Amino acid sequence: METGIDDSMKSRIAELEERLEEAQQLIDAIKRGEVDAFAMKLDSTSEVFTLQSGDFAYRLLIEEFNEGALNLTESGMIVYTNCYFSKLIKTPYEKIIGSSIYNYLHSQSKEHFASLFHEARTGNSKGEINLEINGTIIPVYISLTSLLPKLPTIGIIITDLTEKKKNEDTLFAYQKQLELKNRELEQRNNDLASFTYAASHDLKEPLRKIEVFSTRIIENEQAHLPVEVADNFDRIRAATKRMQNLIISLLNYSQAAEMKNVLVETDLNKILEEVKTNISEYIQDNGAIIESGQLPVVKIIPDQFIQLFTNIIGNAIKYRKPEVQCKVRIDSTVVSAAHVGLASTAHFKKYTEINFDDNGIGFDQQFASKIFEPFQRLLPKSRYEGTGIGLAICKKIMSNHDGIITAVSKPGVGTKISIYLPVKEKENE
Amino acid sequence: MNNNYILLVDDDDDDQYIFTETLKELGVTDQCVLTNNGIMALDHLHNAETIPTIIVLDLNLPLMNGFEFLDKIKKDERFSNIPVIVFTTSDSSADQKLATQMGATFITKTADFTKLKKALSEKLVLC
Repeated sequence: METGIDDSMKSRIAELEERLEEAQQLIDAIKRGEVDAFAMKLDSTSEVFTLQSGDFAYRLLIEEFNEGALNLTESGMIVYTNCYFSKLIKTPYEKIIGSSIYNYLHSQSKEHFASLFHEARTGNSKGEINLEINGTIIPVYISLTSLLPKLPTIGIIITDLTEKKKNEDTLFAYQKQLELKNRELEQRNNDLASFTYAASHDLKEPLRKIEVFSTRIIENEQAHLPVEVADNFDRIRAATKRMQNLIISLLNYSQAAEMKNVLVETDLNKILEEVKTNISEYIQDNGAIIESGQLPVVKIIPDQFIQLFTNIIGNAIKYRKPEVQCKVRIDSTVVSAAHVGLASTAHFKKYTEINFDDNGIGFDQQFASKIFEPFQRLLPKSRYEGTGIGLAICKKIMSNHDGIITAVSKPGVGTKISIYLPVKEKENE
Repeated sequence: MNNNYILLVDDDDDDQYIFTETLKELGVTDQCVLTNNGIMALDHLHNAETIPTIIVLDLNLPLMNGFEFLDKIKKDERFSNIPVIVFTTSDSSADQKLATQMGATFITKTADFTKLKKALSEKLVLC
């Protein structure tokens, strides 16, 4: 009887040893990637996990992947993790396998993950969640794909967003800083606008009073005033007038920098006509002739071009030769950037050139760039009125239009002021 | 002595003085009532027994500026027909346009009073 039991047990042990050997061989084969499929008992049922032939290379690839890769059962149990994920959450491989994915999720991400996980059962889903490992939060982007029907699992690729978030945070901080600086700049511009208003009103006001009262004295007391006193009053009035002009010029100069106005398609012939009307008295008083060819339609800030034309034509009349009738000729043409001397730096291939030719007193060409600087005068103000800002305003206006202004002059012959407006792409077409 | 009077709305002492001197130079014998802002001027209009023959109005005024005052009197039929000269330091074309649209004559304050004198003469003859 005992012998019978021993034999049965021996036979059973041998059978178990054989199965153990088979299992050991299977594990070794799995490790070597030689197994295509194996069965695993989950709860009371058996599930078959298939490793299709040739997948070994893919497994290696996923193992070496620079992204986390997981395979989860439908209940969320991790049945596979690659090395990267293990390193990412600083948890050994053995502890991860068989554990629930929910152990590694931040509490506020669990619901979102559950919804992505549910969605993935019928296809795939993706989204951003946070992992939490021992209090450390790791932002990740996850892409979930159902492996059904081949495997009853869901594969997840996990991208670590820590660096990206860090960069985004830095970028966000810079953006906030920039917004702050912009607000400061806006505030300063507003302050400047208030200042220009104060300059236009409050500074001009006392000067007007000086002019009013000195004029009243001269007009009402003319008969009783000694000649020297009358002369002194005239000087006061002249200085006051100069100061007023200076303030107006400064205001115009600061306003010329403003780019609030948008470019409007404008007929330059109409701008010229408007300027001629505005200064008709001045043109007539000085017997000047303003002639022009056909001028183009260009995209400009009209008010600024009225100021530009007024200043250039006004200068031509002011610096006329006393003994000769003042003539100003305005013509236009299109030239290449090379012609303007901008070939290497210009963003535009062509420029509209508008020339203002006069037969005035002219000046030495060596001062050609100086005349466009603020407060630069080539002649004493006792001989020619003016603040020395007119052409500086013109330069600023041209700069606002991506253009330039130049002057060619010869003493006793005349001056040619040329303005160059870029022909923009659309106009080229 | 007649009952006609001119209402000046201007907060600047010098301008008030120059204005009354200008009236003298024009030989205008009408009284000149001086007010410093829109509220004072409106208060005067509501309490006066007669309306002024003309209102000379600055724009940059404390408490109630010239345009606000102009808007109020143009909306009140008792005062809407009183001729108004806007006499201001502003040389803005936008101010000029608005004042003209609101039915006022617009003159910028300068040292030259010819335009003001001309406008006053025309308005006073009309009344």
